Amino acid sequence: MENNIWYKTRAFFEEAGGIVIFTGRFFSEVFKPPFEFKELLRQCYQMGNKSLLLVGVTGFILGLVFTLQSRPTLMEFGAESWMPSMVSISIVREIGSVIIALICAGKIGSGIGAELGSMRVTEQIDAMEVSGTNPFKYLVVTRIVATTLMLPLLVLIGDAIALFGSAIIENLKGEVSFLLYFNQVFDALTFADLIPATIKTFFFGFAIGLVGCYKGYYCSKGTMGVGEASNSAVVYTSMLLFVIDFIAVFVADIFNG
Amino acid sequence: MIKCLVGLMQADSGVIRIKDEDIEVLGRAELDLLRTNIGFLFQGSALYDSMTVRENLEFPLRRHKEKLKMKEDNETLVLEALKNVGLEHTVDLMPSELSGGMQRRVALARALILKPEIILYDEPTTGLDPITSKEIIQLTRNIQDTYNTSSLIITHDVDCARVISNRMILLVDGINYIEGSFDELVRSQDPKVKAFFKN
Repeated sequence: MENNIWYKTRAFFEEAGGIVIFTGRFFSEVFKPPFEFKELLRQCYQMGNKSLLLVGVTGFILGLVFTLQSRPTLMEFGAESWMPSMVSISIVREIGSVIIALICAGKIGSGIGAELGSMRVTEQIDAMEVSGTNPFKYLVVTRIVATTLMLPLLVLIGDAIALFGSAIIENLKGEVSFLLYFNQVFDALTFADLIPATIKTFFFGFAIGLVGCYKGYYCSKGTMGVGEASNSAVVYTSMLLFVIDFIAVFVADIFNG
Repeated sequence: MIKCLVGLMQADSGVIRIKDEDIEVLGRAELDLLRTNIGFLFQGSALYDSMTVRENLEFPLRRHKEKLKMKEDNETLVLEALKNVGLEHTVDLMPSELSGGMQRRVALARALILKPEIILYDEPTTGLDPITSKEIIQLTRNIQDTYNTSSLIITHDVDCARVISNRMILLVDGINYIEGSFDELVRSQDPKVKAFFKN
């Protein structure tokens, strides 16, 4: 029992240390030429464009459900007119970014973990290395930069679609026009809501790329290792997203006074 | 051992010198340049499965074509390398569309594309049927003659060793146990060597 706790604690710190070293290596390589722009663009397309449908559907349903669930409570207090403000602030500040980042951790993070993991076990990464190409730069740096750049865009699009979903419910149930709904949304939102929430999403994207790449790049041998890399990429990223979210909210709160 | 030679793994002790360069002390750029002189055929072929055969072969050219002063365009180099392994028609196929033997030959073409002076083969015939194995062995032999390369082959395949090797080293428990030509080793009276050649 004691041994087991010791083993798990040591494994946790080894993992954390490994991720820190991996992050250091990323920063030492990212600004150093040669740059892999073509691969970066391909990754941005893979991660951004191909996640759009999932993010769109998630955002739309989020807006619908959130509005449907909140309406009865607000009606009870005669506060339906607060609906656009409440929904927009909740989605833009917190729920939209966290839920879309979690969805992306599942789709993109696990995809990266599985792809790099399978490249590791089939020696494709070694083949890149011996052909004189730096696989860290080609595979890892491009993916982490792509997720860091794409996640904020996906969150912005997801938030907009969520607000659209919410406006549909308001329009159908509360007979509120789209123009009035979005006027209220833009009245309620300030840059103080939007800017910290957007900055936070860059860190979310970075975490998704970093953990997915770390797990895949150092995948242990065998197909079981690939499964584990993919699975643990999602688990670790999800936990990390909540930690980053807490820190971001805490820092934003200090700045907002 | 073969991975230590190209710097994929670090040796526990000793010095590895290739073309008078100690690979342990080389920086990233120098090591990459040295690696362009070494072709490596992996046991499982290790073709990039998200790329076509053409893209697999073009991959090593991206960074090193200018450095190596290769004047031909990529298309010519790719087709020439594929022609040498008899697979020009597969240029636009994905690795998953090729048989095991064809994958091994494409991997060999990729290892040859930068015209290396040394080629390292990691179990070139493992997992292949006897006929395809013979084809790969013959191909390896032809490449040695055509490209005038030195080859280091790790193999358990006695036929492969017999056809290709000029000099053999028998490793026992990771130690250099005995060294010589194929005929010398076959005639050896050492029980471990005899056991290896028994069948």
